[in-house]
Amino acid sequence: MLVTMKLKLAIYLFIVSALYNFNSETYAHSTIKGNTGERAFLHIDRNIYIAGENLFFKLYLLDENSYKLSEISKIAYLTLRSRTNRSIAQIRLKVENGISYGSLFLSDTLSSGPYQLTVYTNWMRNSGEEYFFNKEIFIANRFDKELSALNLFSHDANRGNDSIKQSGAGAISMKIIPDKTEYSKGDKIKLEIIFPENSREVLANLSISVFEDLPGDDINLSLRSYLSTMPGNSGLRKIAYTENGRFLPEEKGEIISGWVIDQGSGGTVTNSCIFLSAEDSVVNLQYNFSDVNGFFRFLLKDYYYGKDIVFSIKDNPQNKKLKILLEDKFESNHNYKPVNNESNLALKDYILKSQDIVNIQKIYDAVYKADIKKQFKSSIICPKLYYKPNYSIKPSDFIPLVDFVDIAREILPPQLRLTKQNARYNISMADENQHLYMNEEPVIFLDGVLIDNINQIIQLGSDKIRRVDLVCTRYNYGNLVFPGILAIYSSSKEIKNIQPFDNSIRLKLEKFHPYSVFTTRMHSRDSSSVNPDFRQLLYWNPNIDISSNHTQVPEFYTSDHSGNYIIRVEGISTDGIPISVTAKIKVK
Amino acid sequence: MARVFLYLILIYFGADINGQTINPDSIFEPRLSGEMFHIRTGVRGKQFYNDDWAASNIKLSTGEWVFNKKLKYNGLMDEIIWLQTDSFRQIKLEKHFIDEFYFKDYSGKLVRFKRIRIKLSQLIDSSDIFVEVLAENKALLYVFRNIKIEGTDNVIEGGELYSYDLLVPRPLYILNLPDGETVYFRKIRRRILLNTLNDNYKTIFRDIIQHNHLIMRTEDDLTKLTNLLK
Repeated sequence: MLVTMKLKLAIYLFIVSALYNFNSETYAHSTIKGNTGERAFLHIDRNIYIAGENLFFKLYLLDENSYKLSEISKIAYLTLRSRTNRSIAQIRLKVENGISYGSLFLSDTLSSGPYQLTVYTNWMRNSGEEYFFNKEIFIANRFDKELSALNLFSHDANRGNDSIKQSGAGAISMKIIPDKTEYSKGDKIKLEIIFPENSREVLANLSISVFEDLPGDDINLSLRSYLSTMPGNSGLRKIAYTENGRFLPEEKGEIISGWVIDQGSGGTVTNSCIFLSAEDSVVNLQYNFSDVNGFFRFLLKDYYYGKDIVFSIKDNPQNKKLKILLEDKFESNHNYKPVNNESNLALKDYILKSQDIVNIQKIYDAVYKADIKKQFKSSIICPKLYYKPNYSIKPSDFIPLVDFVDIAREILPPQLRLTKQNARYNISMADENQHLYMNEEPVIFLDGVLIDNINQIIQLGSDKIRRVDLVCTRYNYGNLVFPGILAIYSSSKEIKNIQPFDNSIRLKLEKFHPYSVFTTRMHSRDSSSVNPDFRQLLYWNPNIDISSNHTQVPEFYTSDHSGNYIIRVEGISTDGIPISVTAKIKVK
Repeated sequence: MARVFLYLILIYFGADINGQTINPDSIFEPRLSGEMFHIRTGVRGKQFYNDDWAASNIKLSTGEWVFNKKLKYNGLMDEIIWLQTDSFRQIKLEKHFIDEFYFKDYSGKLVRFKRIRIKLSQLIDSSDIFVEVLAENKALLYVFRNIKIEGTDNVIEGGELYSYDLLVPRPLYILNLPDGETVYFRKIRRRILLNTLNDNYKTIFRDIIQHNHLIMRTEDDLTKLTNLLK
């Protein structure tokens, strides 16, 4: 009887275990900080902008379960879409310790209407676009006085389910205390962030905006309310690195991916070797194979940023017409559809006033600026293929020769053999270790990029070739073996005139969006200045670290524009507790 | 009942197969590169530090890591050889692309080698060599596991005369003192070591050796001594 019970229990446990494995998709990675998802929240300086202004933003990337700043993704993606789903901006952000900030210039020519900001990480894409952070803003063209598109701007689109006010309505009882409640124009403002006396020390990262209050209700979505309304807040959802969840977290850098397609059949091609190299003065190479779904990935090193990179497929044993299709991380399956709303006359008056202000500020070139605080440069650490060639020859050291045929015959060592057959040239190289010519063609690089064959550069003479490197041995790179390496460096980037392979794709890899900050007059009114100062955004600080119960915010000044202003603070403590507080001041 | 268990086992493994896992570390593992290795023949004696391929981790000059590769250190060539386990190719890894490598379990201990740039007396220019790290504290102690050809052995085999180079281990100890001075010696002897030092260090070394009852005949003693230097 006891034996039967034990057996039943064992079977039950076995079934539970098997089903768990079946459903939860096993997790194979050891270095990641836990298999949770991420949530993104974007704090922006305002919700209504005039075309020609800067939009300032701060990204909080949070661990989905603990709400602590995420240590997983190091890259985030921000898009701005118009109501016609036209992409206005696509930005790649470098995330450092779960935060990123910057600014986005809203072009003067943008038409009036609601726009949608979306932020996400590659890791978040596994959960679907409904997990992305969306925020609706309104951008008014300076010369559109009708503002008919204002009907499409939804006040409720961004609203949370709570109203964050002063006196610790946030999850952490925090106060933002201005030194006065009423200020005159050009006055200095001092803000203090205070936690209750008896509260333990709070460590947090905050962002602050001080902007003119909009007519009607506060339409900002706070971080706290966003976290409470986000779908899938069970804390149990798991994401695993499986073929189903194919979007890998960009923990160590940007991952670029794509498919190898057979243009004949339209199907994907498995086990195809894709090469990646960048135009440079050193031979650099990475390779990877397409998987069973024809999908491939590369982890991009900082070295590639700002360079032209080339993806190619070199070996094509079945002579298929292959194509490389890169994945567009900004592609969206969800259409942005603004909801039709009743016109808000008060809001229209506010925007008309803002248009006039920006017009005046523009005339005097007195619009607040976004100053770059940190730029992300490309690294000099290069994925070099070889350290030192066996031979390195500069044709300029010899008499001028008209083409590569002459260069190979006259000045290159005999280890490189150039032959002609049916009007096509072929090369082979001797293995210096074996003292034998290798039967296969060496790999050829032009300006750091792998190219198909010697005929592509055969017409280049001494005037165009700066240096020729030869690696005369069977050279292993990963699991690949190259029968010698011939690297040619041109004096004027000849690679730009050559299609390396039929299937090659070139891509200019833009650098990451810089971290930028709001700058304006940070001192008392300059009597000599005749520039007007009607700013509706008085202050924006995206990165304030709180490490005590009493923090002084760097002081700033009111403008010459009177009105009611909102001080909005958003942030997250190191324990993962959201902080969302507002206060009001008046400028007379 | 056995049949039920069989089904359950099939379900279990079926589930595992279905949830194909991806390991980003293996997808994006940096590539090792180098020439095909051709072993030096016609020699008598050991040319490798380790007779068997040792499971090793490698730190590349880019700062990236490569894990669990089968390596041998060739002391005659001062090169690290990688065995590609799927193709059984032996690759002489490009030395300048490697900062460090670890034999994870060599005779029960972790052995760490690193690349340093040094001016050896027999060479005109400075060169990069792999050295085994014995101690890295205030003072640094490395040993260059050099194997030298010292003489030849002529033998008649099958009526033919063959000449073999004789390989002899000739380690070079490199001690980088806390003040930055570097001393070199080939044998571990108290007298030899003290002779390489200036008067100040001579006194310090003598004190440490006496207080800790070090015999100064083995690498263990030398390592202890180095770790005690402040």
